[in-house]
Amino acid sequence: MKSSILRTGLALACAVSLASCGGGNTGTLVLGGQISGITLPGLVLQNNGGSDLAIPAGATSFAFTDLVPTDAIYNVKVKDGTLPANVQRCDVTGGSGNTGVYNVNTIIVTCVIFTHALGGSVSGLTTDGLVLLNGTDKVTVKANATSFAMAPVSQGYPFGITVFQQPAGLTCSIANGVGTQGTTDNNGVAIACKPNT
Amino acid sequence: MTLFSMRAALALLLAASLASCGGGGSKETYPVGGTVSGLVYGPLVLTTGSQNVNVNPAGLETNGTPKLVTYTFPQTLSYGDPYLITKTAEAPHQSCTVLQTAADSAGHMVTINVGVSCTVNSNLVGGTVTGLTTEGLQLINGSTTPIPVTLTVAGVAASQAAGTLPFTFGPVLYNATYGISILTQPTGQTCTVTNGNGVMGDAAITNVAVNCVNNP
Repeated sequence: MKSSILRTGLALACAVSLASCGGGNTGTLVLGGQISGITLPGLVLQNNGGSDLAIPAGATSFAFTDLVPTDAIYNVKVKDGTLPANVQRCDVTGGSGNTGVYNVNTIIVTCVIFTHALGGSVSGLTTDGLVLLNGTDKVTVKANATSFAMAPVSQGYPFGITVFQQPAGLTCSIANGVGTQGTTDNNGVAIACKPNT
Repeated sequence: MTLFSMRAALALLLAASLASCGGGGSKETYPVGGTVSGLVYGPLVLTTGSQNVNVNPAGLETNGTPKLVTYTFPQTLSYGDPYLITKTAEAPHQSCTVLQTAADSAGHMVTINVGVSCTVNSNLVGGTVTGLTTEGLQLINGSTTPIPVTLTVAGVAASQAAGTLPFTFGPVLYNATYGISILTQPTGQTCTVTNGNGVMGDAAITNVAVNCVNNP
């Protein structure tokens, strides 16, 4: 009987101490770091299973609103089920440790976005010289090509294909060259070239 | 007399032994050099004392990163000679940092190996929008900047030049391309881009022009 009371007390004490560890604004130190690959809202980071922190689109750094105590264990993870639709996975580097006495700003969260092909058809290209751009991605399309492929584009990213250089004696125009990359390969861009008049 | 000649002989002997130790052909020398990382364009001119060395790039590794380049100044230093490597001429289109912050002397370290770290410069791409009177215009630089630049009528109103609105995209590396497109047209208007693509040079691009007119 006595020992059972003791056990219950111990369990309670444990539970209280865990609660003080896991959630809430219980300290004076900032816990945060760098984050990349977030272009859509939704991702939630947690420390010790609590202190939910929503990461906005475009974030490059984060810091938990809840401060943490000195000399406390922290363990930062992505909350289950919160990966944005275009994110394949997020890796957390340096996410766990002991706070010691200084702010922690060394956690690195790297999110990998799905990528899909971007390209399509080419017609009327009888000469060399066509050069296409998608921002800093540059692709040269040779004479008599019937298809082309730009570098793969991350899901949810915009794309905008422009003609950097027209082929000799021809003028090429682009259909479906601007948009937002969807959830599958995009081979719907159509390039039509005609002789200059 | 005898004592005097003995002294002279001793002095000669000492001089000879000193020569064999410190001076002459067998004196220890220290080449001054190191490695340069990230070098894509050359030459980078490094200087220590009155010596210069031109460092040129050595091409790319198979993974596309610039190969490490080793450099050595033409003359070696003697023990105790000071050296402080500085940058006399920047590598073209790059920013290099010599990783030696204070003068040192030959022999302090077993070998003199001063690293230099270089990165390729980048500049912003931008221009102005004219004629915008409705909301919704979004500009992109291909897939290079994941979040489109949204231009607003309020922005036009707040802009110092009447009826125009400057915009800027993130930095583009020297010699990389940029291509500005309209992702979304504003409501009831059609905008067109001129000077929309090109290759980044040594200065910011400011001449991309987006002109918007009301739909008929």
